[in-house]
Amino acid sequence: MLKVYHLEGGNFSEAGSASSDIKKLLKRLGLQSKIIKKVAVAMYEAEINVVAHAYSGDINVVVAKDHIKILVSDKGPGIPDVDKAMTEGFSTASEKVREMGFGAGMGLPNIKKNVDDLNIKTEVGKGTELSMRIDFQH
Amino acid sequence: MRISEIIEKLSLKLHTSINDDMEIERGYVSEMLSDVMANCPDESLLVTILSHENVIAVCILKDIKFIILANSRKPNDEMLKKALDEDIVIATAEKNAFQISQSLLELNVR
Repeated sequence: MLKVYHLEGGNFSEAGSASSDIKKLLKRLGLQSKIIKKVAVAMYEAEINVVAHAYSGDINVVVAKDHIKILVSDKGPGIPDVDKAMTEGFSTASEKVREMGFGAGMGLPNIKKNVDDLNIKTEVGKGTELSMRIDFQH
Repeated sequence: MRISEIIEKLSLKLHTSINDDMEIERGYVSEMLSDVMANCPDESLLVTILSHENVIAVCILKDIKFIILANSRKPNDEMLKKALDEDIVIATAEKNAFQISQSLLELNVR
């Protein structure tokens, strides 16, 4: 099964609709709620990253028999130092984004905690591609 | 304790209807949504001053069905609309988050 979603930078109201759609889908498929939560949290953090930092982004979700793969690619500033971005507490979010309750530097670490595999390809000035996999069996 | 009982005992102002008056045993206080996602126990109530629609998005993901807005905060229109769509209860307290937590502890919500 393949699902595709589009995100616009700055559109915080729309962030979360892709992850809650996937959450409903996985619920219908009868997956364990622990796994569904992991997918939903990782995906929502990725959505927020796109609307907070990028100009636009696309999400492709592939649901296979024993895992789910989520690819989030954005057109945006890219991440100059991925190791730093992975550090809990480090954030480059704007004041406005922080006031909304984001930008605590927990996004990427939260994603990492919830997925079985995470791959980040990024080019400064062009954009970032985040690919993550969550296995259904643990 | 049921949502309706908490609303009554804490004298909260209700913004939505209560379609599922469920038992709530746990609570969490936070102003960071990433923190809610990372650390809030499932099916808790959430005490916060954040009053915009992204709070609802996080509540959906975490199965949070009851939000108490502290310091007399009111939900913005979009937050209220999304909460109504998703059957999430929002109520406002005049007290601050610390005082609300104290009252909830007395009601055995931990």
